Amino acid sequence: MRFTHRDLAFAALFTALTAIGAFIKIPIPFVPFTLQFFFVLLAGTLLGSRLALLSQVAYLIIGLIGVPVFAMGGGPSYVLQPTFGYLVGFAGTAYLVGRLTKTGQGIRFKRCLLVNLAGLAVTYVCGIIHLYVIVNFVLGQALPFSRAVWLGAVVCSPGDIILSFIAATVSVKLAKSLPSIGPKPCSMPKKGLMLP
Amino acid sequence: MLRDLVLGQYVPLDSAVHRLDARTKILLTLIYSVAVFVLPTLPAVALAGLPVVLGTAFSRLSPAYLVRGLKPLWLLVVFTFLMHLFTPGQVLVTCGPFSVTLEGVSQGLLVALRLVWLVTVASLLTLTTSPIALTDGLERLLAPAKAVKVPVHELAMMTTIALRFVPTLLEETEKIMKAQTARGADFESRSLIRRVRSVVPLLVPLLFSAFRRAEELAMAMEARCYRGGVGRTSFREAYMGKTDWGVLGAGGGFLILAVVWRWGG
Repeated sequence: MRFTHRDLAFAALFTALTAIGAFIKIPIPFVPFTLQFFFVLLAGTLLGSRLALLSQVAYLIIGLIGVPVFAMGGGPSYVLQPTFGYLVGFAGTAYLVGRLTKTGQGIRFKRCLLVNLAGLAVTYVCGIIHLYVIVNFVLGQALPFSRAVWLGAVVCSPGDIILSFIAATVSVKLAKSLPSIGPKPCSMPKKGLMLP
Repeated sequence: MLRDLVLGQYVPLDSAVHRLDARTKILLTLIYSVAVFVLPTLPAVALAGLPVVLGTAFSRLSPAYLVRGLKPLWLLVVFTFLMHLFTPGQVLVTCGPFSVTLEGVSQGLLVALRLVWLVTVASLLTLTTSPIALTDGLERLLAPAKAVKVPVHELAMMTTIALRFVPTLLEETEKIMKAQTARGADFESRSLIRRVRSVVPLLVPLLFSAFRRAEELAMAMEARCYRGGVGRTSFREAYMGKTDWGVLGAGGGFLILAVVWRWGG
């Protein structure tokens, strides 16, 4: 698939929005609550799998080349941060959400919410694995896997589940008012249907 | 803050390291990171600091910048060092139930030094190369991936556009926040639910203004006949000179040395 100008501009926009999401912090006790994940979900729903994936990969690149767009700065050494896995997970989430969202028949709240929660699971799996690997093998301390799951998923899940709700609500509203970006329901006419 | 967003960590100076091609610097950083993990013993890892010190000296950067780069990770480094102190072995000092051992100290130093060098080299890369140059370098390095249909050019283009979008959108967010506060939106409510719900009047206008911007950008690109990667030339052509190849050669030599040190005898 070739990209149109709009595809490119909107994917880049979601890259930037994800970065902005890291700056909008809502002070909730114990858990840092940022809007990053919200924009990741929205990118998946509105852009479609391929563009959403690219937009999140671009986000990773920007952070890794030293622009402070991650929650705690940026730069190549961010790979060593125990929380870097979540950022990689975002790319997977965006792809999966894009894949599971059917743009054809409009977006329905229930389905959108379920898809978002499935996306959340991808982020958590990546996040926990990275956390586990970094702590055990780079820092060289024993962190049992169950503890990694507790720290990496259970503690921060309430905020993210709320975000999935908000994202589903907003996507339903946006999908109605926004002309299509990314894969259109029938953008490419099948070969047999082409006019002579 | 805004300056940080536009330039990243880049410190514009004129030095030998700044003048190296972005590709050279990216490759060197990768080579060095592998080498540091390959080197097995404390003296070897300590010696590996030499290229870092040389690089810093040639870059004319004040070491304070590099120290600042370590700041987000120093806790991690110290923590790692402390956790290693109690490896079983020859006891140096005993305090309570814990005893610090010789092996522990050397193991801790080894891991901590590795982290410090890695982080420093990474900062050196981003301190001496602008984000745009780095994106460009990455695009050129990854060009072979186009053969397997990875949209490398599009990705680089997106990165560049997003770099430009971030500061604008951040300003926009602040503006919308002030506007909504003026209309009575409550961003600092005590109630948790209200605080979460206060995000919505911020998000919706932000999204709509952002979409409008993207729409305008797409139109502008179309009007200027932007048509993707194939056959495009760039205004600033990156160039790999003799120095670049020389430095890369030295880096390769360093890696071979590290491998020999570990497995060669």
